[in-house]
Amino acid sequence: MTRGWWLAAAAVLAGSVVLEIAFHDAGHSLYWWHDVPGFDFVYGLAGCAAIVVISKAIGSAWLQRPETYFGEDEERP
Amino acid sequence: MIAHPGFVLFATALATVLIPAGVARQAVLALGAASALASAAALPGDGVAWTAQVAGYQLELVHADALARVFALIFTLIAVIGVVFALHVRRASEHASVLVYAGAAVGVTLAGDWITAFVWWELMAAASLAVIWHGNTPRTGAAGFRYLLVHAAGGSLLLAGLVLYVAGGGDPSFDAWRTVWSAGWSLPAALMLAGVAINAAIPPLHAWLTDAYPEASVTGTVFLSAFTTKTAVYLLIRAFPGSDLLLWAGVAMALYGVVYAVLENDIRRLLAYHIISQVGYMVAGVGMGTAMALNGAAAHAFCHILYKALLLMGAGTVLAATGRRNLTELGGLASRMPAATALYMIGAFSISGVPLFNGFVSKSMIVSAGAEGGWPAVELLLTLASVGTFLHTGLKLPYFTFFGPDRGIVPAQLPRNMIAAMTMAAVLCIALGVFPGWLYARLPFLPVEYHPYTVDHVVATVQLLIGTGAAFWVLRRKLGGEATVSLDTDWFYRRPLPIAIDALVAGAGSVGEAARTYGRSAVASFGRAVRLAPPGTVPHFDAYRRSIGRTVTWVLAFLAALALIGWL
Repeated sequence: MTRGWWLAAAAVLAGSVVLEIAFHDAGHSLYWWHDVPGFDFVYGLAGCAAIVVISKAIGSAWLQRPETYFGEDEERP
Repeated sequence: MIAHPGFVLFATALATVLIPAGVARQAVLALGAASALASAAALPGDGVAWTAQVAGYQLELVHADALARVFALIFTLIAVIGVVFALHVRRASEHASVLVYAGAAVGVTLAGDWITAFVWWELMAAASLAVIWHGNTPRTGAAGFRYLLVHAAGGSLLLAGLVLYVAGGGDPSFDAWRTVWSAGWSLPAALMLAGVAINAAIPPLHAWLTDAYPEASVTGTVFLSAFTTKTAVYLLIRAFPGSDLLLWAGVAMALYGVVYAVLENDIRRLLAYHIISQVGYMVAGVGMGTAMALNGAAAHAFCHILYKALLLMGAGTVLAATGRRNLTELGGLASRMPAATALYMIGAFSISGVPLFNGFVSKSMIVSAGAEGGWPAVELLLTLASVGTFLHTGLKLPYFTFFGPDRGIVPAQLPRNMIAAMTMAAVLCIALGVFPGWLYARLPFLPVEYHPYTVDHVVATVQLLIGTGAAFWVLRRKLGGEATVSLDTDWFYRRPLPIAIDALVAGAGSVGEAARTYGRSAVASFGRAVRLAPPGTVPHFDAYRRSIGRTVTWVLAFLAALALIGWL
């Protein structure tokens, strides 16, 4: 099941890169990353990993507290 | 002759309270909300209707231009869907409060001047508080009080700015305000913007949202997600377009919600953090201020209201059917709640900007406006926020709630109206994604020269989603919910502020205590000095008192002396 999903994703990704190269419209490129095939895949992969790692680090170092942190007064309806 | 959709909703609220729970009330609710939608759709083109002269000011109760109409339309549309979702609710007061809330939100959008808008704005705050207090979690009461205090402060800032502006000879109509704002910053503008920014939940003024919304009822949260922040977005588009401050505040907001959503365990609070993130796109669009960006902000508000309602309805059905709200307690519900799962996923694809769903046609408009406006960093950062959106609402929440490890939870049967309402929202999310022209034709700045379905664009989006999905799968074990709360800016008024107030009260008390102690000994010393107190007696006030006869004699003598002086 998981293997099937990976293969499907890889196929769609490969197809998208082919389409990107075939139909590239340089007139719509404003910045260099608009011209790099597969840029958005890498950006999504690295961005997602960065979001998870950085948020978890900020959370455990600073933000996360036990669920009872704000005390029993909070429990009054 | 026009019918103000807000008053149609108020009339429906009144009827709901008068009619006992049952089929008749349900029919009135549905018909009333539908009539409000019809009257919003029938609003006339540009022009002022319903004016009133109050205290020398020309107030415009209905000023329906394209921007007002598109917001009035989505507000009444979501009122219909929300009412259907809540049809099984028996408490008349809950129906009445959501209808008044919706009506007041429509009132803000149709107001042609600041004074009228302010009155609706405050009514909206009061009604939304009533909606929150219809929740029944252990935290509902306290969270509602905090919501009240924050919104009272926001309303006061808006009013203070408005009073300064009008007292300085300013014309309260929005038409006149436009030239004032384009001339630059002023104290009234700063105060009014701060008041509106609180409702838009711009960090650090946002914590009321994630504090209070998840504590409302399953049905109430759907309405809350639609109106308060989006009326603020409406007012920002109307009154404060084109500001670097808003542009960067919006970008920061879009990412802020994403960070907190990683840490969040409560499914409705996770979605609430993504309201902040999504409103960030709209605020950024307002900050850019170009026609395309403002169109994008309005379009994204329209689409966001639909898919966010759908997502919260999905989370609400989970809560209603299982009584559980934390990721750490959920899992494997897809096979037992297939309809809710499928409908939730349509909302998740929409918010994630998957092609053929409505988020794709509105979010990309703002991101493209950023790129075309010469803000490359904005394009990259908003795209990063989009990665976070798909990660949380499209992957993490559904994985740990519907798919993922099965905890053998047996959900209760859901009322059919809940699934019907979700279906309505889902159909609209797809319809707008497939036929964006319908929405584009209703945007404030026409014609709309934007084509979302280009090969470049679709391909880039698909790659982004695949990249995000791959990273999620690898990191999914790090993403399971943790039984923690995350500190946010509400910490300041939930921790140090109560301690400071307690210290202030205790300080005043000890000053009083000291005054009594020292006062008593001072009186005793004075008494001894003037030899009033018998030597050796316990210093007590009664010990130094003269008899009543002597006191009256002295008072009379004093008054006589005063009278004599006065006469002389």
